[in-house]
Amino acid sequence: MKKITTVLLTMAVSLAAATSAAAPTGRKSSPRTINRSAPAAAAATARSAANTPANQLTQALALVRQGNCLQASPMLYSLSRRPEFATERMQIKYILGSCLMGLKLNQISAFQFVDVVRRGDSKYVRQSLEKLSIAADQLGDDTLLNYAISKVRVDEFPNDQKDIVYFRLGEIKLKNNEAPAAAQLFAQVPPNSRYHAAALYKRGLSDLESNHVSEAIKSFNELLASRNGAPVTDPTRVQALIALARSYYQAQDWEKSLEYYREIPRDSELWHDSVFESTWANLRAAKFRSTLGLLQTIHSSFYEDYYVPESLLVRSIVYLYICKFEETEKTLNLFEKTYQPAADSIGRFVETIRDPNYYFAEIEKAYSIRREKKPITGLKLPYMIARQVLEEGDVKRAFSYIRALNEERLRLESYGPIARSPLGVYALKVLANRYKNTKITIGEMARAHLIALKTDIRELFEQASFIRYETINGQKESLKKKIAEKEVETQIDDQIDRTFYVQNGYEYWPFDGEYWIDELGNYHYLGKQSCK
Amino acid sequence: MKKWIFSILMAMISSFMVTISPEIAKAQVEVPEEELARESVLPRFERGEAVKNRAIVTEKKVEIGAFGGWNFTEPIYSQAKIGFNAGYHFTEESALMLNFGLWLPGRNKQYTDAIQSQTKANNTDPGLDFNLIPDLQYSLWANWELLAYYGKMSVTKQGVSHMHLYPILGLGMTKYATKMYPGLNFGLGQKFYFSKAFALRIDFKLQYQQGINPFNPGFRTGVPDPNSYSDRFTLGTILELGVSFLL
Repeated sequence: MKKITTVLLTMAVSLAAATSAAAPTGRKSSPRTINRSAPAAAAATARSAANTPANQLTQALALVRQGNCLQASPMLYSLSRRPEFATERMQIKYILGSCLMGLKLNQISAFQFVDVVRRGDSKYVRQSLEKLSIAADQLGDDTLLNYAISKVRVDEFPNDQKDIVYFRLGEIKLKNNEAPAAAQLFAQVPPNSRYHAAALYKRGLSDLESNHVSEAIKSFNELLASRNGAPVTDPTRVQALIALARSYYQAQDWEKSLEYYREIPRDSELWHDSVFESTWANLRAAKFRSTLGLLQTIHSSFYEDYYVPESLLVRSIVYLYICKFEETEKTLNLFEKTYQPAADSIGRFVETIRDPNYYFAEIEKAYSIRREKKPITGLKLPYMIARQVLEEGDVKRAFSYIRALNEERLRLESYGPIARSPLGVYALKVLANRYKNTKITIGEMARAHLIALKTDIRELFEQASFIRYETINGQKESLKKKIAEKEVETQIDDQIDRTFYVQNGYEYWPFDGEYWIDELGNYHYLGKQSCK
Repeated sequence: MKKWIFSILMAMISSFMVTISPEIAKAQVEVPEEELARESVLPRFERGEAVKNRAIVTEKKVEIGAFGGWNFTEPIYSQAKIGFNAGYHFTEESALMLNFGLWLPGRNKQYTDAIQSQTKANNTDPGLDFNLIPDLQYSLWANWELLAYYGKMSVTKQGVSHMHLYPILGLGMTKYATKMYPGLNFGLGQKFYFSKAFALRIDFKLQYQQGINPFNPGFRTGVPDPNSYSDRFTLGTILELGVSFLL
């Protein structure tokens, strides 16, 4: 606000000059044209004088000073397009952008700031960038911001405001797979910056990308320490915990990794991911029973809409390790039964449909099924697949951006003075255009993710066939041993009824096929290995 | 009273569970302490369901059952009845049940004898004879049951019993020898399942209904006309204990 006031004062001074230049003409003509017998003409002249662009600008600035952005914005918009104010255009746009931001019309305001930044020859570039960053955060769309950031030079920024540039440039570098450079940029974001926590996290990620695990752990620990006293489900705290677990996993310190995975609270969004990821850590730590216990959670009916094909392969690997060949086969069969139709369905979809709008429509259906808890019907793709696409970070962000655009349109329509003005027409056009383009972008993202999922499933099928081969091998070896012993003992594997295993493996609260939400994460496999 | 009923119930459940749960753990394996549950919070899901793949499925199933019951606050007629339930579960939560109860003949001697001897001794009503009043024969109720709570409990750590807790609300008719009377009842029921289809069923209801007023002044002068009894409203306290099967 302080900055806007300074801008307004600057403008007022420059406008005073413009107004005084226009005034003598008025004074000169008025004694000759205004007389007592023509009050209407005098009033008209007065109105005309009041409506000069300079006066309009003065009025608009006065309205901004009064905090009446609703009235000021349409005036500023019209003035920003007038040729008389070519030199003040960037100032006007900056003030207009700030005003619109105050009215929570972030997308429209972002366009004003981008114009200022793109022009680049104004002293408002830095301030516009800062505002643009805030608007982009609110919108959940970094495209404009990253574009703008790429246009500026860091050394042009004052020291106390360089944080945003370092952070955003770091993000761009990380996206372009330049992890070491990204880590360096993130490291320059000072602790007092509002971007510090995010920079710490991303610095850790960059270090992990560069395989500098100990540096990454240091960053994540610092992030965790910064959330001391925060609630256990604090998203930053949980992010730090899971990042630490992943870092230790990368460092092959399975125990330490598991320790952090166990710290993830159940009622946090990341718990589901942590359970699955910890199955790998348990497997690598040769804790087969613990792995199976966690997999029982992942394979419960609560996760029937989740895409976790890898978990079935992990389960079959564990069964293979403990010589439960029958279970290995059943798990592999389940994998094929679940994911072969999914792969076929994706294949048909991507081969026959090219139009991004169609992809968007399909993903949007899944989005509304999930959001409004509707029955799962009317989808061409399996819901599990559509849901997985929705879970992808870029799609998720794009959907929240679309939501922000819709909210902004509604807000704009509720602002009568703006909605009815040329600014309203322009703003609605901008929003409609952004909506249309984002839909296409989401469609393209969805197609790319579907192709990636298809490849992913195909690779997993190859792994499944290796496991099947190993299972047959294991069965053969087991048979050889039996023959060598010359006696056929009754083995636990001779019973092929699944319920036998289930009942034999679990006790106290025997698992009978029913899944309770409060039991998730508490399953313990108590079966024993059958290897001889 | 409640304690007594509860003790019997628990004893019954325990004996049932021992007989029908032959799968007692075969292996004793130590579970690492750090892997035991430490949190009481629940994971978050898009669709907040508490249970999936229910062991006891009631939706679109017919339920039949038999029971024995008592009206604890009935002073004149026999308090006991036997009967059966039959109904249909429209969803997992909602069912319509018909409840037929045959009231056992006789009178509640605990009170009727005392009242009669007292009135005779005091000579206040020497002709009072409850054996002459029209018999209470049967009741038929149509009850809506809301299966509001589905849960399970561990029994002696060796088995699991599922249970349903359900409010009951219904309308019905009660037949006396001379006339039929309307009524309404409401209460709470509980089912303990011993298999996916078989359950012990306990219903507790308050029953507000019209009926015969057995203290009819007309019958002091000899054998009364059965149709001469006046009507009155009473509030009965009903407990039914029985079994039920899901078909």
